[in-house]
Amino acid sequence: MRVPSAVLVSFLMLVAGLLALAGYAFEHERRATPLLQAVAASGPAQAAPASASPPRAFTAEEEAYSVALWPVHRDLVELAAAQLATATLEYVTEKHDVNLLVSRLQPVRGEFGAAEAKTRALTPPASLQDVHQRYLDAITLYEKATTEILRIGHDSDDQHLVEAQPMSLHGAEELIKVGDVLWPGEHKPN
Amino acid sequence: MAKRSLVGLAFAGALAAVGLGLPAASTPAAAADTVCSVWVVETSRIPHIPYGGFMPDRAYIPGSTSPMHNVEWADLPVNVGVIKCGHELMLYDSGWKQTEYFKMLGVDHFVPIADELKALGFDAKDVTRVFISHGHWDHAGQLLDLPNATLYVQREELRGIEWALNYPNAHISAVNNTPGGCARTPACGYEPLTMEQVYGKVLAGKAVIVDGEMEVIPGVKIHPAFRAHTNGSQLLEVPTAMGKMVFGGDAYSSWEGIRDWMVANIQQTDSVQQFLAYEKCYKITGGYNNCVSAHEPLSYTAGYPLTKNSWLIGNGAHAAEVTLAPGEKSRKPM
Repeated sequence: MRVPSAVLVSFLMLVAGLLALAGYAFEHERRATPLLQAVAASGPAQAAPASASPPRAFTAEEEAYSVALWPVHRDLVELAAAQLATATLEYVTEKHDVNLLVSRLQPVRGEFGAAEAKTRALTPPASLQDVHQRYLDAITLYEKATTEILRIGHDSDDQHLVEAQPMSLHGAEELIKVGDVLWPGEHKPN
Repeated sequence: MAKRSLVGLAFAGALAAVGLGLPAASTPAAAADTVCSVWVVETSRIPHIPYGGFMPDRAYIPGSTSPMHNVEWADLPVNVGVIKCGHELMLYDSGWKQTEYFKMLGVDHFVPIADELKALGFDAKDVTRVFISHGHWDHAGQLLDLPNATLYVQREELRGIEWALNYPNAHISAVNNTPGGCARTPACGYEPLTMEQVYGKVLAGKAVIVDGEMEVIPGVKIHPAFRAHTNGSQLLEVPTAMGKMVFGGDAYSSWEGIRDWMVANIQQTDSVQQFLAYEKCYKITGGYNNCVSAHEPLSYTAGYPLTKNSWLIGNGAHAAEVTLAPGEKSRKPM
Protein backbone atom coordinates (compact mmCIF):
# COMPACT_ATOMS: atom_id res chain seq x y z
CA MET A 1 0.00 0.00 0.00
CA ARG A 2 1.35 3.37 -0.84
CA VAL A 3 1.31 5.75 2.13
CA PRO A 4 0.63 9.38 1.24
CA SER A 5 3.84 11.37 1.70
CA ALA A 6 2.25 14.04 3.95
CA VAL A 7 1.05 11.34 6.38
CA LEU A 8 4.44 9.69 6.34
CA VAL A 9 6.20 12.97 7.10
CA SER A 10 3.77 13.70 9.94
CA PHE A 11 4.31 10.24 11.38
CA LEU A 12 8.08 10.58 11.22
CA MET A 13 7.90 13.99 12.87
CA LEU A 14 5.75 12.54 15.64
CA VAL A 15 8.23 9.72 16.20
CA ALA A 16 11.12 12.17 16.24
CA GLY A 17 9.28 14.36 18.73
CA LEU A 18 8.54 11.45 21.00
CA LEU A 19 12.17 10.35 20.85
CA ALA A 20 13.35 13.86 21.71
CA LEU A 21 10.90 14.01 24.62
CA ALA A 22 12.04 10.63 25.88
CA GLY A 23 15.67 11.74 25.61
CA TYR A 24 14.95 14.92 27.55
CA ALA A 25 13.07 13.00 30.23
CA PHE A 26 15.92 10.51 30.53
CA GLU A 27 18.50 13.27 30.83
CA HIS A 28 16.34 15.09 33.38
CA GLU A 29 16.00 11.99 35.50
CA ARG A 30 19.67 11.20 35.15
CA ARG A 31 20.62 14.66 36.39
CA ALA A 32 18.13 14.41 39.22
CA THR A 33 19.79 11.21 40.38
CA PRO A 34 22.14 11.81 43.28
CA LEU A 35 25.65 12.20 41.98
CA LEU A 36 26.99 9.27 43.87
CA GLN A 37 24.33 7.01 42.44
CA ALA A 38 25.14 8.29 39.00
CA VAL A 39 28.76 7.49 39.53
CA ALA A 40 27.91 4.06 40.79
CA ALA A 41 25.59 3.42 37.88
CA SER A 42 27.63 4.68 34.98
CA GLY A 43 30.54 6.74 33.81
CA PRO A 44 34.24 6.20 33.44
CA ALA A 45 34.96 6.22 37.15
CA GLN A 46 32.53 3.41 37.83
CA ALA A 47 34.19 1.06 40.24
CA ALA A 48 34.07 -2.50 39.08
CA PRO A 49 32.54 -4.89 41.56
CA ALA A 50 35.07 -6.54 43.78
CA SER A 51 36.84 -8.75 41.30
CA ALA A 52 38.58 -10.92 43.82
CA SER A 53 37.11 -14.32 44.39
CA PRO A 54 36.91 -15.29 48.03
CA PRO A 55 39.80 -17.42 49.19
CA ARG A 56 39.28 -21.14 49.72
CA ALA A 57 37.91 -21.84 53.17
CA PHE A 58 40.43 -23.24 55.61
CA THR A 59 40.19 -26.83 56.75
CA ALA A 60 39.74 -27.33 60.47
CA GLU A 61 43.47 -27.99 60.88
CA GLU A 62 44.43 -24.90 58.90
CA GLU A 63 41.99 -22.78 60.86
CA ALA A 64 43.35 -24.08 64.15
CA TYR A 65 46.90 -23.22 63.08
CA SER A 66 45.88 -19.74 61.93
CA VAL A 67 44.05 -19.08 65.20
CA ALA A 68 46.99 -20.37 67.26
CA LEU A 69 49.54 -18.19 65.44
CA TRP A 70 47.40 -15.04 65.47
CA PRO A 71 48.21 -13.94 69.07
CA VAL A 72 51.91 -14.42 68.33
CA HIS A 73 51.60 -12.26 65.25
CA ARG A 74 49.34 -9.62 66.81
CA ASP A 75 50.91 -9.29 70.26
CA LEU A 76 54.57 -10.00 69.56
CA VAL A 77 55.79 -9.93 65.98
CA GLU A 78 54.05 -6.94 64.42
CA LEU A 79 54.36 -4.87 67.55
CA ALA A 80 58.07 -5.70 67.89
CA ALA A 81 58.63 -5.04 64.18
CA ALA A 82 57.02 -1.63 64.43
CA GLN A 83 58.94 -0.87 67.63
CA LEU A 84 62.20 -1.78 65.91
CA ALA A 85 61.46 0.73 63.14
CA THR A 86 60.34 3.51 65.44
CA ALA A 87 63.15 3.06 67.96
CA THR A 88 65.76 3.32 65.21
CA LEU A 89 63.88 6.23 63.63
CA GLU A 90 63.93 8.03 66.95
CA TYR A 91 67.64 7.29 67.33
CA VAL A 92 68.49 8.79 63.94
CA THR A 93 66.08 11.72 63.96
CA GLU A 94 65.84 12.75 67.57
CA LYS A 95 68.10 11.68 70.38
CA HIS A 96 71.01 9.73 68.96
CA ASP A 97 71.40 8.12 72.34
CA VAL A 98 73.09 4.71 72.01
CA ASN A 99 72.20 3.62 75.51
CA LEU A 100 68.55 4.51 75.01
CA LEU A 101 68.45 2.65 71.71
CA VAL A 102 70.00 -0.44 73.26
CA SER A 103 67.67 -0.33 76.24
CA ARG A 104 64.69 -0.16 73.92
CA LEU A 105 65.82 -2.86 71.54
CA GLN A 106 66.79 -5.49 74.08
CA PRO A 107 63.17 -6.22 74.96
CA VAL A 108 62.30 -6.13 71.26
CA ARG A 109 64.85 -8.85 70.59
CA GLY A 110 63.31 -10.78 73.48
CA GLU A 111 59.88 -10.45 71.87
CA PHE A 112 61.18 -11.82 68.59
CA GLY A 113 62.84 -14.67 70.49
CA ALA A 114 59.62 -15.46 72.32
CA ALA A 115 57.68 -15.31 69.06
CA GLU A 116 60.11 -17.71 67.41
CA ALA A 117 59.81 -20.18 70.29
CA LYS A 118 56.02 -20.03 70.27
CA THR A 119 55.88 -20.44 66.52
CA ARG A 120 58.25 -23.42 66.55
CA ALA A 121 56.02 -25.05 69.15
CA LEU A 122 53.13 -25.08 66.70
CA THR A 123 52.61 -27.94 64.29
CA PRO A 124 51.23 -26.70 61.00
CA PRO A 125 49.18 -28.90 58.69
CA ALA A 126 51.11 -30.07 55.66
CA SER A 127 49.31 -27.53 53.46
CA LEU A 128 50.70 -24.66 55.54
CA GLN A 129 54.19 -25.99 56.09
CA ASP A 130 55.65 -23.48 53.64
CA VAL A 131 53.76 -20.62 55.27
CA HIS A 132 54.97 -21.76 58.68
CA GLN A 133 58.58 -21.85 57.50
CA ARG A 134 58.23 -18.47 55.84
CA TYR A 135 56.94 -16.98 59.04
CA LEU A 136 59.85 -18.43 61.00
CA ASP A 137 62.25 -17.02 58.39
CA ALA A 138 60.69 -13.58 58.76
CA ILE A 139 61.10 -13.67 62.54
CA THR A 140 64.70 -14.83 62.11
CA LEU A 141 65.40 -11.91 59.80
CA TYR A 142 64.02 -9.51 62.39
CA GLU A 143 66.03 -11.16 65.16
CA LYS A 144 69.20 -10.87 63.12
CA ALA A 145 68.48 -7.25 62.30
CA THR A 146 67.89 -6.45 65.97
CA THR A 147 71.07 -8.25 67.02
CA GLU A 148 73.04 -6.36 64.38
CA ILE A 149 71.74 -3.01 65.61
CA LEU A 150 72.44 -3.92 69.23
CA ARG A 151 76.14 -4.22 68.35
CA ILE A 152 76.09 -0.44 68.34
CA GLY A 153 76.21 -0.76 72.12
CA HIS A 154 79.76 -2.12 71.83
CA ASP A 155 81.30 0.21 69.29
CA SER A 156 78.83 3.09 68.72
CA ASP A 157 79.12 2.50 64.99
CA ASP A 158 75.96 3.57 63.15
CA GLN A 159 76.90 1.34 60.22
CA HIS A 160 75.16 -1.48 62.09
CA LEU A 161 71.85 0.26 61.34
CA VAL A 162 72.65 0.36 57.65
CA GLU A 163 73.57 -3.33 57.60
CA ALA A 164 70.46 -4.32 59.54
CA GLN A 165 67.90 -2.45 57.48
CA PRO A 166 67.75 -4.78 54.44
CA MET A 167 67.07 -7.66 56.84
CA SER A 168 64.19 -5.97 58.61
CA LEU A 169 62.82 -4.69 55.30
CA HIS A 170 62.82 -8.23 53.91
CA GLY A 171 61.22 -9.48 57.11
CA ALA A 172 58.44 -6.92 56.73
CA GLU A 173 57.80 -8.03 53.16
CA GLU A 174 57.57 -11.65 54.28
CA LEU A 175 55.15 -10.83 57.08
CA ILE A 176 52.73 -9.35 54.56
CA LYS A 177 52.89 -12.45 52.38
CA VAL A 178 52.17 -14.76 55.29
CA GLY A 179 49.49 -12.47 56.68
CA ASP A 180 47.75 -12.48 53.33
CA VAL A 181 47.33 -16.25 53.56
CA LEU A 182 46.49 -16.60 57.23
CA TRP A 183 44.75 -13.36 58.20
CA PRO A 184 43.45 -11.54 55.14
CA GLY A 185 42.04 -8.22 56.27
CA GLU A 186 44.46 -7.69 59.13
CA HIS A 187 45.27 -4.25 57.70
CA LYS A 188 42.21 -2.43 56.49
CA PRO A 189 42.31 0.73 54.38
CA ASN A 190 43.11 3.77 56.44
CA MET B 1 85.92 -0.82 62.39
CA ALA B 2 85.94 2.96 62.15
CA LYS B 3 82.95 4.53 63.82
CA ARG B 4 80.45 6.04 61.47
CA SER B 5 77.66 8.32 62.53
CA LEU B 6 74.26 8.94 61.03
CA VAL B 7 73.48 11.72 63.43
CA GLY B 8 73.61 14.34 60.74
CA LEU B 9 71.43 12.55 58.23
CA ALA B 10 67.97 13.70 59.10
CA PHE B 11 69.27 17.01 60.30
CA ALA B 12 71.36 17.48 57.17
CA GLY B 13 68.23 16.85 55.18
CA ALA B 14 66.32 19.31 57.28
CA LEU B 15 69.02 21.90 56.90
CA ALA B 16 69.11 21.40 53.17
CA ALA B 17 65.39 21.98 52.95
CA VAL B 18 65.50 24.92 55.27
CA GLY B 19 68.28 26.27 53.13
CA LEU B 20 65.96 26.09 50.16
CA GLY B 21 62.93 27.24 52.08
CA LEU B 22 63.84 30.10 54.34
CA PRO B 23 65.53 32.38 51.82
CA ALA B 24 62.55 31.84 49.55
CA ALA B 25 60.22 32.80 52.35
CA SER B 26 62.10 36.05 52.73
CA THR B 27 61.77 36.87 49.03
CA PRO B 28 58.04 37.16 48.38
CA ALA B 29 58.60 38.23 44.79
CA ALA B 30 60.00 34.79 44.05
CA ALA B 31 57.02 33.14 45.73
CA ALA B 32 54.62 35.25 43.73
CA ASP B 33 56.26 34.09 40.51
CA THR B 34 56.00 30.40 41.23
CA VAL B 35 53.33 28.66 39.21
CA CYS B 36 53.08 24.88 39.33
CA SER B 37 51.37 22.28 37.17
CA VAL B 38 49.22 19.68 38.90
CA TRP B 39 47.96 16.24 37.99
CA VAL B 40 46.12 13.77 40.19
CA VAL B 41 46.46 10.04 39.59
CA GLU B 42 44.36 7.19 40.89
CA THR B 43 46.84 4.65 42.24
CA SER B 44 44.09 2.17 43.10
CA ARG B 45 40.45 1.99 44.03
CA ILE B 46 39.19 0.26 47.17
CA PRO B 47 35.62 -0.79 46.59
CA HIS B 48 32.63 -1.53 48.71
CA ILE B 49 33.30 0.57 51.78
CA PRO B 50 30.06 1.14 53.74
CA TYR B 51 29.19 4.79 53.19
CA GLY B 52 28.46 5.35 56.86
CA GLY B 53 31.91 4.02 57.69
CA PHE B 54 33.41 6.63 55.39
CA MET B 55 31.12 9.54 56.28
CA PRO B 56 28.99 8.95 59.39
CA ASP B 57 26.66 11.85 58.56
CA ARG B 58 25.80 10.16 55.27
CA ALA B 59 25.15 6.67 56.56
CA TYR B 60 22.88 4.59 54.33
CA ILE B 61 19.26 4.33 55.40
CA PRO B 62 17.36 1.61 53.51
CA GLY B 63 14.48 3.12 51.59
CA SER B 64 15.65 6.70 52.04
CA THR B 65 15.35 8.97 49.02
CA SER B 66 17.59 11.62 50.53
CA PRO B 67 20.84 12.00 48.60
CA MET B 68 22.50 12.17 51.99
CA HIS B 69 21.39 8.67 52.90
CA ASN B 70 20.57 6.67 49.79
CA VAL B 71 24.05 5.50 48.85
CA GLU B 72 25.04 2.23 50.46
CA TRP B 73 28.64 1.78 49.37
CA ALA B 74 31.59 4.01 48.56
CA ASP B 75 34.26 3.04 46.04
CA LEU B 76 37.24 5.00 47.19
CA PRO B 77 40.06 5.99 44.88
CA VAL B 78 43.51 6.37 46.39
CA ASN B 79 44.68 9.63 44.83
CA VAL B 80 48.25 10.89 44.57
CA GLY B 81 49.18 14.44 43.59
CA VAL B 82 51.84 14.99 40.94
CA ILE B 83 53.20 18.51 41.15
CA LYS B 84 55.71 20.13 38.82
CA CYS B 85 57.13 23.51 39.72
CA GLY B 86 59.83 24.47 37.23
CA HIS B 87 62.33 21.62 37.30
CA GLU B 88 61.00 20.22 40.56
CA LEU B 89 58.85 17.11 40.24
CA MET B 90 57.08 16.35 43.51
CA LEU B 91 54.47 13.95 44.83
CA TYR B 92 51.91 14.46 47.53
CA ASP B 93 51.50 10.95 48.94
CA SER B 94 52.91 7.85 47.28
CA GLY B 95 50.08 5.30 47.32
CA TRP B 96 50.83 1.69 48.15
CA LYS B 97 52.11 -1.49 46.58
CA GLN B 98 51.53 -4.31 49.03
CA THR B 99 50.13 -6.42 46.24
CA GLU B 100 49.17 -9.17 48.67
CA TYR B 101 46.36 -6.90 49.82
CA PHE B 102 44.60 -6.99 46.47
CA LYS B 103 42.78 -10.18 47.24
CA MET B 104 41.52 -9.27 50.65
CA LEU B 105 40.45 -5.77 49.71
CA GLY B 106 39.12 -6.58 46.26
CA VAL B 107 41.26 -3.72 45.00
CA ASP B 108 40.81 -2.51 41.48
CA HIS B 109 42.55 -0.03 39.20
CA PHE B 110 45.96 -0.63 40.77
CA VAL B 111 48.88 0.84 38.86
CA PRO B 112 52.36 1.23 40.39
CA ILE B 113 53.28 4.89 40.85
CA ALA B 114 56.32 4.54 38.60
CA ASP B 115 54.06 3.38 35.76
CA GLU B 116 51.60 6.17 36.35
CA LEU B 117 54.38 8.73 36.21
CA LYS B 118 55.59 7.12 33.00
CA ALA B 119 52.09 7.46 31.55
CA LEU B 120 52.36 11.17 32.26
CA GLY B 121 55.76 11.29 30.56
CA PHE B 122 57.76 11.45 33.79
CA ASP B 123 60.39 9.18 35.30
CA ALA B 124 60.10 8.08 38.94
CA LYS B 125 63.83 8.68 39.26
CA ASP B 126 63.22 12.38 38.58
CA VAL B 127 60.91 12.87 41.56
CA THR B 128 62.77 15.24 43.84
CA ARG B 129 60.44 15.38 46.83
CA VAL B 130 57.62 13.30 48.24
CA PHE B 131 55.35 14.72 50.93
CA ILE B 132 53.37 12.11 52.79
CA SER B 133 50.12 13.42 54.22
CA HIS B 134 50.54 10.84 56.98
CA GLY B 135 52.16 7.46 57.54
CA HIS B 136 49.29 5.05 56.87
CA TRP B 137 50.16 2.19 54.56
CA ASP B 138 47.91 3.24 51.69
CA HIS B 139 49.52 6.71 51.52
CA ALA B 140 53.20 6.21 52.32
CA GLY B 141 54.10 3.16 50.26
CA GLN B 142 56.32 2.76 47.21
CA LEU B 143 58.92 5.08 48.73
CA LEU B 144 61.75 2.83 47.61
CA ASP B 145 60.52 3.22 44.03
CA LEU B 146 61.32 6.92 44.26
CA PRO B 147 65.07 6.57 44.80
CA ASN B 148 66.04 10.20 44.46
CA ALA B 149 63.11 11.74 46.25
CA THR B 150 63.50 13.35 49.63
CA LEU B 151 60.72 12.36 52.01
CA TYR B 152 58.91 15.00 54.04
CA VAL B 153 57.11 13.72 57.13
CA GLN B 154 56.01 15.50 60.28
CA ARG B 155 57.96 14.74 63.45
CA GLU B 156 54.60 14.73 65.21
CA GLU B 157 53.49 11.82 63.02
CA LEU B 158 56.48 9.71 64.05
CA ARG B 159 55.97 10.65 67.69
CA GLY B 160 52.32 9.64 67.51
CA ILE B 161 53.21 6.19 66.22
CA GLU B 162 55.95 5.86 68.81
CA TRP B 163 53.57 6.78 71.60
CA ALA B 164 50.94 4.33 70.47
CA LEU B 165 53.32 1.41 70.02
CA ASN B 166 54.66 1.79 73.51
CA TYR B 167 51.33 2.19 75.21
CA PRO B 168 50.97 -0.60 77.76
CA ASN B 169 47.62 -1.84 76.55
CA ALA B 170 47.15 -4.18 73.65
CA HIS B 171 44.05 -2.45 72.36
CA ILE B 172 45.87 0.88 72.12
CA SER B 173 49.19 -0.44 70.79
CA ALA B 174 47.71 -2.89 68.28
CA VAL B 175 49.28 -2.55 64.84
CA ASN B 176 46.84 -4.74 62.99
CA ASN B 177 43.21 -5.68 63.25
CA THR B 178 42.18 -7.76 66.16
CA PRO B 179 39.09 -9.69 65.14
CA GLY B 180 36.44 -7.03 64.98
CA GLY B 181 38.95 -4.46 63.89
CA CYS B 182 41.29 -1.89 65.37
CA ALA B 183 41.00 0.45 62.41
CA ARG B 184 40.53 3.52 64.55
CA THR B 185 43.08 2.84 67.29
CA PRO B 186 46.29 4.90 67.32
CA ALA B 187 48.85 2.48 65.86
CA CYS B 188 46.52 0.88 63.35
CA GLY B 189 47.45 1.44 59.75
CA TYR B 190 51.18 1.77 60.34
CA GLU B 191 52.12 -1.69 59.18
CA PRO B 192 55.78 -2.73 59.48
CA LEU B 193 56.66 -2.55 55.78
CA THR B 194 55.53 1.07 55.53
CA MET B 195 57.52 1.97 58.62
CA GLU B 196 60.55 0.19 57.18
CA GLN B 197 60.29 2.24 54.00
CA VAL B 198 60.05 5.50 55.94
CA TYR B 199 62.99 4.37 58.06
CA GLY B 200 64.90 3.41 54.91
CA LYS B 201 64.53 6.96 53.56
CA VAL B 202 65.73 8.41 56.85
CA LEU B 203 68.67 6.03 56.97
CA ALA B 204 69.62 6.93 53.40
CA GLY B 205 69.72 10.61 54.32
CA LYS B 206 66.71 11.22 52.10
CA ALA B 207 64.24 12.49 54.66
CA VAL B 208 63.28 15.76 56.21
CA ILE B 209 61.56 15.55 59.55
CA VAL B 210 59.28 18.56 59.52
CA ASP B 211 58.28 20.53 62.60
CA GLY B 212 54.97 22.15 61.73
CA GLU B 213 55.04 24.71 58.94
CA MET B 214 57.69 24.86 56.24
CA GLU B 215 58.09 26.65 52.93
CA VAL B 216 59.84 24.05 50.81
CA ILE B 217 60.36 26.04 47.65
CA PRO B 218 58.95 29.48 46.97
CA GLY B 219 55.18 29.31 47.32
CA VAL B 220 55.04 25.59 48.12
CA LYS B 221 54.25 25.33 51.80
CA ILE B 222 53.65 22.53 54.25
CA HIS B 223 50.95 23.22 56.83
CA PRO B 224 50.49 21.02 59.88
CA ALA B 225 47.04 19.47 60.31
CA PHE B 226 47.74 17.58 63.49
CA ARG B 227 44.99 15.11 64.44
CA ALA B 228 42.92 16.10 61.39
CA HIS B 229 43.34 12.43 60.43
CA THR B 230 46.40 11.18 62.30
CA ASN B 231 48.65 12.65 64.95
CA GLY B 232 50.96 14.38 62.48
CA SER B 233 48.92 14.88 59.31
CA GLN B 234 50.15 17.61 56.98
CA LEU B 235 48.71 19.67 54.11
CA LEU B 236 50.54 21.08 51.10
CA GLU B 237 49.83 24.48 49.57
CA VAL B 238 50.75 24.82 45.90
CA PRO B 239 50.54 27.97 43.72
CA THR B 240 48.99 27.34 40.30
CA ALA B 241 47.56 29.25 37.36
CA MET B 242 44.07 28.69 38.78
CA GLY B 243 44.99 29.99 42.20
CA LYS B 244 46.35 28.30 45.25
CA MET B 245 45.60 24.65 45.79
CA VAL B 246 45.77 22.68 49.03
CA PHE B 247 46.41 18.95 49.09
CA GLY B 248 45.00 17.33 52.20
CA GLY B 249 45.44 13.57 52.05
CA ASP B 250 43.05 11.93 54.47
CA ALA B 251 42.40 15.16 56.34
CA TYR B 252 40.53 15.84 53.08
CA SER B 253 39.30 12.32 52.41
CA SER B 254 36.03 13.60 50.95
CA TRP B 255 35.80 16.74 48.86
CA GLU B 256 32.04 16.73 49.40
CA GLY B 257 32.80 16.59 53.11
CA ILE B 258 34.83 19.79 52.83
CA ARG B 259 32.08 21.42 50.80
CA ASP B 260 29.30 20.35 53.15
CA TRP B 261 31.28 20.49 56.42
CA MET B 262 30.99 16.82 57.23
CA VAL B 263 33.73 14.69 58.73
CA ALA B 264 35.14 11.81 56.70
CA ASN B 265 37.41 8.83 57.23
CA ILE B 266 37.66 9.14 60.97
CA GLN B 267 40.71 7.21 62.09
CA GLN B 268 43.04 8.77 64.62
CA THR B 269 41.02 11.92 64.13
CA ASP B 270 39.83 14.85 66.18
CA SER B 271 36.78 16.09 64.27
CA VAL B 272 37.43 19.69 65.34
CA GLN B 273 40.94 19.49 63.91
CA GLN B 274 39.55 18.05 60.67
CA PHE B 275 37.21 21.02 60.39
CA LEU B 276 40.12 23.37 61.07
CA ALA B 277 41.99 21.67 58.24
CA TYR B 278 38.96 22.27 56.00
CA GLU B 279 38.92 25.88 57.10
CA LYS B 280 42.61 26.18 56.25
CA CYS B 281 41.77 25.33 52.63
CA TYR B 282 38.94 27.88 52.55
CA LYS B 283 41.31 30.52 53.93
CA ILE B 284 44.19 29.75 51.60
CA THR B 285 42.23 29.15 48.40
CA GLY B 286 39.12 31.26 48.99
CA GLY B 287 36.70 28.33 48.86
CA TYR B 288 36.49 24.58 48.58
CA ASN B 289 36.99 23.99 44.86
CA ASN B 290 40.77 23.87 45.07
CA CYS B 291 40.97 21.46 47.99
CA VAL B 292 42.51 18.22 46.74
CA SER B 293 40.99 15.10 48.27
CA ALA B 294 42.61 11.70 48.68
CA HIS B 295 39.54 9.47 48.50
CA GLU B 296 36.67 11.48 47.01
CA PRO B 297 34.36 8.90 45.38
CA LEU B 298 33.40 11.44 42.70
CA SER B 299 37.00 11.81 41.57
CA TYR B 300 37.53 11.85 37.79
CA THR B 301 33.94 12.89 37.12
CA ALA B 302 32.25 16.24 36.73
CA GLY B 303 31.00 15.74 40.27
CA TYR B 304 34.44 16.75 41.53
CA PRO B 305 35.23 19.55 39.09
CA LEU B 306 38.94 19.82 39.90
CA THR B 307 39.47 16.30 38.55
CA LYS B 308 36.98 16.22 35.68
CA ASN B 309 39.61 16.63 32.94
CA SER B 310 40.49 12.97 33.23
CA TRP B 311 41.44 9.97 31.15
CA LEU B 312 42.32 6.33 31.66
CA ILE B 313 45.99 5.56 32.15
CA GLY B 314 45.87 1.80 32.51
CA ASN B 315 44.12 -0.98 34.39
CA GLY B 316 41.04 1.18 34.71
CA ALA B 317 42.92 3.83 36.70
CA HIS B 318 42.44 7.50 35.94
CA ALA B 319 44.60 10.55 35.76
CA ALA B 320 43.36 14.12 35.80
CA GLU B 321 45.17 17.10 34.39
CA VAL B 322 44.18 19.74 36.89
CA THR B 323 46.16 22.79 35.79
CA LEU B 324 49.20 23.62 33.71
CA ALA B 325 51.80 26.29 34.34
CA PRO B 326 52.50 28.60 31.41
CA GLY B 327 54.63 26.73 28.87
CA GLU B 328 53.98 23.31 30.39
CA LYS B 329 52.78 20.77 27.86
CA SER B 330 49.60 18.80 28.33
CA ARG B 331 50.08 15.17 29.33
CA LYS B 332 46.57 14.19 28.32
CA PRO B 333 46.44 12.16 25.11
CA MET B 334 44.75 13.98 22.25
